[in-house]
Amino acid sequence: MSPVLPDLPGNGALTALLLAVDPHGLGGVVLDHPHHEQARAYQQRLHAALPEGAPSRRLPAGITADRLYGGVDLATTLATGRLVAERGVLAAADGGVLVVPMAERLAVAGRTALAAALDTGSIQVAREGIAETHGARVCLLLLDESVEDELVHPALRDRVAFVIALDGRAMEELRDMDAPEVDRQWRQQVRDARRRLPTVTVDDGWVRALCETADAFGVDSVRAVLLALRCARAVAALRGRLAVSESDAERAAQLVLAPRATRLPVPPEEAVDTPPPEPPPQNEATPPEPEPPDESADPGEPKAHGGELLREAVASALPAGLLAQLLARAQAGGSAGRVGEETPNLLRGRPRGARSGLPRGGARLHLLETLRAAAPWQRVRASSPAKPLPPSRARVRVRREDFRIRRFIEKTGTTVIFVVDASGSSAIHRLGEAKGAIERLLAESYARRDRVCLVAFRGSGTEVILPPTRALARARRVLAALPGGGGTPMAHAMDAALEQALAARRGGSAPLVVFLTDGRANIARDGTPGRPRAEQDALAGAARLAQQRVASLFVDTSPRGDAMARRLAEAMHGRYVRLPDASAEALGGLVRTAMVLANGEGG
Amino acid sequence: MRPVYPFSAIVGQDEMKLALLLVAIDPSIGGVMVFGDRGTGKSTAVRALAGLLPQMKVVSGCRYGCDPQGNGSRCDECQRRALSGPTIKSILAPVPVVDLPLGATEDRVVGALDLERALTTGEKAFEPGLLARAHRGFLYVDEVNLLEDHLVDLLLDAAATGENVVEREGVSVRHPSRFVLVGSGNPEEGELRPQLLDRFGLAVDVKTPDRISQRIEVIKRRDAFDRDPTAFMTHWSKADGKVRRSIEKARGRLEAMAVPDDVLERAAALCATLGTDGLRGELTLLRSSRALAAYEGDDVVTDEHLRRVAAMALRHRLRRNVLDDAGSTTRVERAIAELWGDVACVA
Repeated sequence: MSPVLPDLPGNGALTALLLAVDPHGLGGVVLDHPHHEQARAYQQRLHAALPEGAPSRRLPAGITADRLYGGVDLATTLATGRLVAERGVLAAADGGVLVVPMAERLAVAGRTALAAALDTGSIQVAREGIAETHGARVCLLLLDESVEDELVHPALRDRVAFVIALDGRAMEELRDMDAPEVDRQWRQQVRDARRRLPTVTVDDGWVRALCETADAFGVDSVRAVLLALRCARAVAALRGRLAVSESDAERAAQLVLAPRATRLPVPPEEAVDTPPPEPPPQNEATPPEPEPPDESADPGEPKAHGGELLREAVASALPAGLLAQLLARAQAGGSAGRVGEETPNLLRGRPRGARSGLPRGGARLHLLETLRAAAPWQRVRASSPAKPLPPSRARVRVRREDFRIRRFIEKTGTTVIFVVDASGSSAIHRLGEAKGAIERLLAESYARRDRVCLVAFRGSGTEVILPPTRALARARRVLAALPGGGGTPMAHAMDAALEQALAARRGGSAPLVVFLTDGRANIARDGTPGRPRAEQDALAGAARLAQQRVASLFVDTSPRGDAMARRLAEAMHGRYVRLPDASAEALGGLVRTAMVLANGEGG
Repeated sequence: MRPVYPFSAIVGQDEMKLALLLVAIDPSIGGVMVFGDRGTGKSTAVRALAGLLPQMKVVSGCRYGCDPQGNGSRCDECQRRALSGPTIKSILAPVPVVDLPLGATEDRVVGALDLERALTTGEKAFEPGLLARAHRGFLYVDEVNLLEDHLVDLLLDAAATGENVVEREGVSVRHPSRFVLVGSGNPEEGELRPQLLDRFGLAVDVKTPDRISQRIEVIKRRDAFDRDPTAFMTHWSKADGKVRRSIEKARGRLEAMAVPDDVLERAAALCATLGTDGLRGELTLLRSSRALAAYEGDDVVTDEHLRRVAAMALRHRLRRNVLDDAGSTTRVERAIAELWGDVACVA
């Protein structure tokens, strides 16, 4: 057999090696908030273990579509008078690594391009006069640098095998591999593994065990199991084996399935259709642990590989915080976190083609359209110069009338930001009505490109309950469970409203802030209780909203109307409405009116 | 070319497969929208269809893939060809399945001035776009709910008129563009505009298979395909061939398919009960049940056919009801149960 191989490193460093064994098959990795050096060390290790000459590219933030997909090579096109295409970053990373910083901010076009590349191993270019297909068998290094509740988009997470946070051990192991002797050894081993990979076999029993394990932990995606299977093969290959063994499958389940777990396995489920056994002991304080597997299988005797073995392996690899999180989520219902805010389009804001005009006063030249406009006239211009110009050496004669500038759409609907007071006793009622109004608005106005967002404030802070969305299905799910009670941090609410409003505006949407509160601020900006300071801070916040000319509506829900509420509404230059018994219907009507008025004013 | 996963090797997902087969048999049904979870093989199924469909006759040398029989409209060139000579040379070509990537620009979708020829020869030539390539085939848009509005408008326009009219930078072209629009998307990530949704004849929901045995089969087959595509495709080619012949036969049978009056009445009653807007729902319901009957070798459309296609033909045309939380599929099934009595519902 093969010579003695070194032990495999811990999970963090191991994934880099596994990706080098099967870069495109495993798709890549989400690195959870890596430091700069960590990401670089990981990337270098992976790149070093890839075949010689494999590319390693980095996707710059805010990349334009023509650089991602490829487009017209303008310089060469102009110089030669022939349409010359240029490969985009995706095609350039074919067979290698593509690092995606701030992966959670990736916009729609970017992530669909990456997803398509992972699915098909190619990228189809259909842009600006070019129709080509390039190989793009990439391995993605997605750097998750999100704050708070953003997430790397599920469509991408689903397609890459690993999600890891690099810890001290992983860094140490990665560093150790840099020692020349060790480095050479690992490279050799990965090279051998890559060669061996196509011949590694998997017993059907392991396929079944992986499927069952995925099911037990609530991993619904079939893709995840497929990735786990590939991972098991890669582990086996790296260990110099020709068939996947129990420990390979275990390792794969830990690496691929554990981070995707959405629930804990239902303890024993030997037979669903047998009548329930004797009732379990009532006073068990802790939730039942996953049952240990039957101890019938002797160690060293590979028997029918039950899913239990893998299940245990996965359970042991669940991240520490995850267990608590899973339990909490099971109670709250629905999944936590949100998809990173998608700017409408990374390509060009909101493009609306081009029109003729001169590129000045902020207007941007649309080079390609300019060329197109000039193109038909080249023959004519070459043979009959209108003016006696010095003999032009340029291959393309562009004149003033050819210039085209880019057009953008100004606004795309309204983002209604509900800022709801979830403090005190009437919180439940207010939140309930806001929820009803949101559902109504979404149900009625989804034809228009309006979005709705809900921020709740209580205790010492605010919480974005529903990030801007126009998806009714999603809103329903999120709104199902809303917290309530505590103090009234009005100043924070103002800040949060402003933040959301400006974000909406950046996305090309007109914001409308709707406050739903009784106006009794009692928590100051620095979090200390006390009415005077709290009111002062709140008024300052309201003034900032007015300063940014954010349209607003202040719905006072206090029984007799509140002087402070009125002052706040004035300070934010908003409309004040007293609605002690805000019903969803009345609220919906109000907001619709306010939307019309806000759009009419034009911001 | 990249090997394509065989259609008949797709495990489960019966509704999606059936919907795709029905529009392949009768393209006038008008497209399929596939809603569903991630990793359920939406794209796989659509691409698999490409490898399955019988080849079609096209006018030799036509850039728009016109039909030699002249069924439907012809492009200007073919019009001239038809006038100048009695016989038109034709060749066999695979039915196109064209991907519309989200990053596509308008000029590539509708076509534009051929920049290269314009620059080198000064000639104003038209370079056909994706709409031309998709003529008489399928246009597939993954994550169609995220497609930019101005591209959606272009698709709607072409889908409604069956032709593509281009007026840009001095080129003025009109060519036929009849295609079956197949979209996929996850409704949680953005709603589809109602106008676009309505264009889709059929809508299906796909879910991750919930039976473990089924999932195991999915993984095994996919893995086998990844490891040795050629062998896998050879293994399934017979089954695919069978489906292909069924499609061909069904197309032939479609013409003579009889739809009894009582079935027509039932279809109308169902649409009325559900309150679907417009006639499109009823039309789709009938066309798809005809296609189903043809596919299964029957001569007459029965209630049973109607029942089996009702959910996919109607579920996306129901008015949204804030007060009714039941999914649209449930609502269709409920209406059927009310009208038909106690017949068991579609699984």
